[in-house]
Amino acid sequence: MRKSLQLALIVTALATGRTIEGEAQTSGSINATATVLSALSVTGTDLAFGNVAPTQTKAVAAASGGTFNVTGSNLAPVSVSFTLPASLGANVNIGTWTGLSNIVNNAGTASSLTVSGAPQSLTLSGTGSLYLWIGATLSTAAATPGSYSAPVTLTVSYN
Amino acid sequence: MSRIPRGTRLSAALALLLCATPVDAQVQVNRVDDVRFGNVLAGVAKTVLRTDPSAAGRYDIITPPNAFILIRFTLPGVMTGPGAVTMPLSFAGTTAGYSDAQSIGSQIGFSPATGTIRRSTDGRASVFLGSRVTPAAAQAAGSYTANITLTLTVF
Repeated sequence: MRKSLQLALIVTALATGRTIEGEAQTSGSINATATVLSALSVTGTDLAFGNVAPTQTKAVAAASGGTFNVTGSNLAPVSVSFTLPASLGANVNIGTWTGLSNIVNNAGTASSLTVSGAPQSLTLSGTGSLYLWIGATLSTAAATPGSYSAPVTLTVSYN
Repeated sequence: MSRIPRGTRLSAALALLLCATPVDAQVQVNRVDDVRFGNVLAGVAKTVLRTDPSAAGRYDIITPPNAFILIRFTLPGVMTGPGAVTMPLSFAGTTAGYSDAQSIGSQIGFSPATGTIRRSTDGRASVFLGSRVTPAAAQAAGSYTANITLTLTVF
């Protein structure tokens, strides 16, 4: 068959979607694949120092400190980072942060965690859970009596 | 009558087999790579480019040399996930690419919705494919798939 005629037939086939007698035809398939991740959620309980004298240094260990519970997709790697206050108010400073992490809700078997603003990689459990505990040291120096608080923010994102 | 040497008989048989090979047997579409979106967040659309070596889909095709070929796709509009939940999948623009050199870095883009006509010089080529997924804000978590068929017609 002349090439010009062939080409005309092909263009016709493309335009009309019809097939032409005498052609060879075959097909093959690939897949498109995606995994939709569950939305991440974080809940927590406060890191409470209780009563403190106007001038005092008081430490709360991570295991008995504030907690975060992260939930998301099973076995997903995540990045965690903290936004930490330097004080809870005038003359009430906070620092020397400590942390623990575990995929089950058990501080006794948890691993050490660096509590800082630098992102760290962790992995959610087979049921999509992650538990964090944080502690710190509070230092008061002639602080005015009253209640003090400041937010501790945990940011979690999928890697 | 003289006997035909054994080697000669074998050659003749092979020649007959080759001559009898139908054109259809020389036309193949082979799956090489899936279009891989990886992890996707609900409410956040994600695009795979046909030039992305780690995520683009790929078919390798075999045709008779110098044949005119017509490439068309059967494109799904959704991916299917857990419990038959669907997620929109689209192929807008020139999200397919033809490569006579079978190289992801050397493609001629075309729309997979309309297909393309090419002439394969040495009878081997690759077709690359990208696409875009658009999960809903409340898209159910889990694995999603869709089947994308390339139909190759040789003239």
